[in-house]
Amino acid sequence: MKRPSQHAFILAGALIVLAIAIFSTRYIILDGNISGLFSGPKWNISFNISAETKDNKAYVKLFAPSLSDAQHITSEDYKFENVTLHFLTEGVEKNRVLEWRNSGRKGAKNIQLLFSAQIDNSKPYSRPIKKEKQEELIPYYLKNTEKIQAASPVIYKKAEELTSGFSDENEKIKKIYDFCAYEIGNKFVLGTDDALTCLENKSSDCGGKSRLMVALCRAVGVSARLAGGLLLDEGIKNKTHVWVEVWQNNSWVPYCPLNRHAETLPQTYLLLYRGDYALMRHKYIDNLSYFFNISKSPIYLSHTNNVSTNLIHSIANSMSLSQLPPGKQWIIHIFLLLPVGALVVCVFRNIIGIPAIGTFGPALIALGIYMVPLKWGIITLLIFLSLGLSVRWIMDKLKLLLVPRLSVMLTVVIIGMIILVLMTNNVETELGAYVGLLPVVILTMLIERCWMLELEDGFLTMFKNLMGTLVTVTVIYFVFRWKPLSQALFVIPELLLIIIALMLMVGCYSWFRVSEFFRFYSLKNSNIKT
Amino acid sequence: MSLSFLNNRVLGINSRNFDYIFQYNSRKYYKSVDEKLQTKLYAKEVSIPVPETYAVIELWSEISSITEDLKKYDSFVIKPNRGAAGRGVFVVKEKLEDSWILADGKSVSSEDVHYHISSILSGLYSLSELPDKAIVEQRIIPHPFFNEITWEGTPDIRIILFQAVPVMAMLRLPTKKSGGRANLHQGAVGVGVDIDSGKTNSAVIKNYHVEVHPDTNAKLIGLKIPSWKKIFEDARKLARVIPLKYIGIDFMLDFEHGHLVVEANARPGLNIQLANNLGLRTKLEAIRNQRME
Repeated sequence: MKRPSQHAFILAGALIVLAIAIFSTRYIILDGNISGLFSGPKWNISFNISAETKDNKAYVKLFAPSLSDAQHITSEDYKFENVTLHFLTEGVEKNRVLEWRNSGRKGAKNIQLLFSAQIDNSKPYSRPIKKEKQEELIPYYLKNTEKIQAASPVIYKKAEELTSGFSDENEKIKKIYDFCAYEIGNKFVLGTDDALTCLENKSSDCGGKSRLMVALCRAVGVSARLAGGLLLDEGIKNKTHVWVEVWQNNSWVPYCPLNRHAETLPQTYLLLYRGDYALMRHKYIDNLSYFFNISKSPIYLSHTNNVSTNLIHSIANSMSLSQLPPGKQWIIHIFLLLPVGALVVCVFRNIIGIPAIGTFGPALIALGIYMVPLKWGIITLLIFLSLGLSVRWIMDKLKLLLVPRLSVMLTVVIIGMIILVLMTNNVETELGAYVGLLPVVILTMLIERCWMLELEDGFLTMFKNLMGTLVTVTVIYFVFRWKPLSQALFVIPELLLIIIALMLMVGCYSWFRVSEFFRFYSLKNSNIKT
Repeated sequence: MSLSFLNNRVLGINSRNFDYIFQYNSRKYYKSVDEKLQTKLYAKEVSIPVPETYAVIELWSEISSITEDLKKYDSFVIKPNRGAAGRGVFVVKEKLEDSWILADGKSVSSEDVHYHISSILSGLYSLSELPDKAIVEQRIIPHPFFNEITWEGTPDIRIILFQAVPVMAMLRLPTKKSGGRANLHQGAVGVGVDIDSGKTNSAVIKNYHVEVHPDTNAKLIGLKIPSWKKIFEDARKLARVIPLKYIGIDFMLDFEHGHLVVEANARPGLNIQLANNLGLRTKLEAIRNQRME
C-alpha cells in the first residue's frame, strides 16, 4: 500500500519547483538577464525629527515619499512616542503628508520615519495625465506667486529676451534652463531666495535658481513648478534639495539648474513633494530639528515596476508587490507573515509537541503584538486574560447561555481595550497605539478556553497550556520581527508555495514529538514482551 | 533523556494518527463512537449491556420538563452525546429535598442542572463545538471489587482494539487528586492489565510507576479483574460491528449489572503504554502484517 505521505512529498516537491519556476520566470522577463537583478542602489533612509511641544494642539506636518514609476519606496516604518500619526494627501499636487500630533504630555518628542528607496532614471519621471485633468491643472502652474514672480516686468523682460526668436516651446525651455544653470551662479544663501532676488543677484542656491527658472517658464506661458526632495548620499545630512518640473510634451520633465541636469535626473534624486513648500510645517513647536541618516543597502533586488506595453512584461510586473502604495504594502506584509506563523504553529504542535490554546491563536496573538516590545505585549495579554477570567467568574454565577456569555466577554474585552488606549494615551508608552491590533475574538476564545481547561482538567493543565501558548507566541513574535524574512517574502512571494511545501512535510511527520521523549521516558526500562 | 525507550516500540501521537487513525478509521464513521447514543445502538445490536438511558434532551424547550422528571431518580448521570475526555459529565449520586448531591460532594439545585443541560445543548463540551444532545442515564455504582482499592468516583476499563483484536488494556482508578475522575491527565492511576488473563501487572500515576493506590494504599499489582473473559469477548464483539478499525472501548463494572460499555473512542490515548510499561507498536504491526497476508 502506498502511503499518502508519498503523495504529499511529491506535491511538496512540485510546489517547490513551481515556486522556483515562477520566480525565475519573473526574474528573467523583468530584467532580461539574471545578473541584472542585482543592480541599482537601494537606499535606507531614516528621517529623524525632534521637537518640543508647547501645547497639546501641537503638530508637525512633513512630506513623506510617494511612489512613482521611477521612484520606489519600500519597508516604510515609523518609530515614535506620545504622538499620533496620520497620513494625508495635500494640495493640488497631491503630496503625501505625514502629520503627527501631540498626544500625552507636552515636552520633547522624537519621531523617526524609516523607508527604503530605489530610483531608476530609465523609467518615466512622471506618468501622462488625462486630458480633462490637464486642462484643470496646467493653468495652475502658470500663476504668479509671492516667490515666483512670473508676472513681474523684470522677469517678463528677461524671459522675452532669452526666448525671442524661438517659436518651439522645447527650445524656449532649453534657453531658459541654460540661462539659469550656467549664467546664474551657484551660491549659498541664508533663508529663501525668490525668483526676482535670484535674478538681481545673478546667483543663488537651489531654491532661488529653481524659482527663477519656474518664473521664466511661466512668463513665456510654459507651466512649471518646483519639486523638493533629498539628494541621496551616504551619511547624515539636514539639507533638502529643490529642482524644477516643466510641463513639456504632455508630461512633467525634471530640470536641476543648480547641479545642471536637464530632462533626466541622476538616481540620487529622491522626490518628497511637488510645489513651493517647506519640508515641514508646524504649530506650537519649539526647537524643531531634523536630520536624515542615509545608507546604502549592500544587497537588494531591483524593483520591477516598469511601465511596459509588453503584455508578458506587464503580467510579470503585476505580480510584484512592491508596486503597491506603501499603505497597501503594510497589509500585504501582515498577510505574508501569517502563513509563517502558521508554519511555526505546525512545528510546535507536531514536531515539538508544545500544547497551545487554540490552533492559530498563538500566530494571531503574535501578529497583534509584534509591533510593541514583547514584554508589553505579554503583559497586556495577561492583563486581558485575568480581567477576562474574573468576568468569566461572574458570568458563571449568572448561568447564561453560551453564545450570549461569549458575546458579553467579547464586549468586555473591547471595553478593556478602549480603556487601555485611553489610559496609555497620557502615559509614556507606545502600547496604546498598537493594542488595537490584538485580535479580540481570539482573546475572548482564549479566556473561555482557559476557564474551561481549568474547570475540566485542573489548574496545572491550564497553566501548562497557557505557558505553551506564550512560548509559541514568543517564538512567532521573534520570527515576525525578523526583518530579512518579511522582506524576502515581500520581494519573493513565491516563498508562500515553499511554506505550503514545508507544511505538507510537517503534515507527514510520523515520528515522535520531542515532548514524547519525556512523556514515555519511564518506558525505557521495561522488557520487550509480545 | 535517553532514546532507549524507542526499543520498547512505543507508539507516538504522530504515528498513531498517521499510521493507524488516518489509515484505518474513516472519518465518516467517527460519529459511531463520537456520539454515545450511536455507540449504544451498536452495543444493543450485539446484545452488549449499556447503562440504561433515562432521557435524551435535544430541544431547549424540553429542558425544564425533563429536569422536573429527573426528581424521580435518586441518582443519574448527565453527559453530552458528543463529549470528549469525560468533559461535561455530571454525576448525581443522591437526592435531597430540593437539591442533588454530586459525586464530588457539591450540592446542586435544579437550576444548576438546567444550566448544565443547556450548556451541553449549546455545544460547550461537544467535539468541534457543534450543538449537542444531552443524555441522562443510569449512574453506575462501582462493583465491590473496587471498594477496597480505589477512592471515590467510578473506575473504568479501557481496551484498545485493532481490527477487532484486543491489543492492550488498562484500568483507570480515580484518586483524590483527579477529583474522583478516571482521567489520567488529572492524576488518576493507570493500571496495566494483561490482555489475556485480566491480571493487573503494573501501574502509573502520570509518568511514575506506583505499586499501591495513593489514597487507599491498596496493592494494585496482581489483581484479577472480575468477569474478564466476558469483557474481553464483548469488546471483540462490539469492535466487529463498529465501522472503525482502531478504537478504544471503555467499560465500567456495576455492582448490580456487571460490565457495561460506556463509550468508545476513535482516537484512544497513548498513556495506556505507560500503564502497561509496554509500547503498542509491536503488537499493532503484528496484527497489520497478519491481516495483509
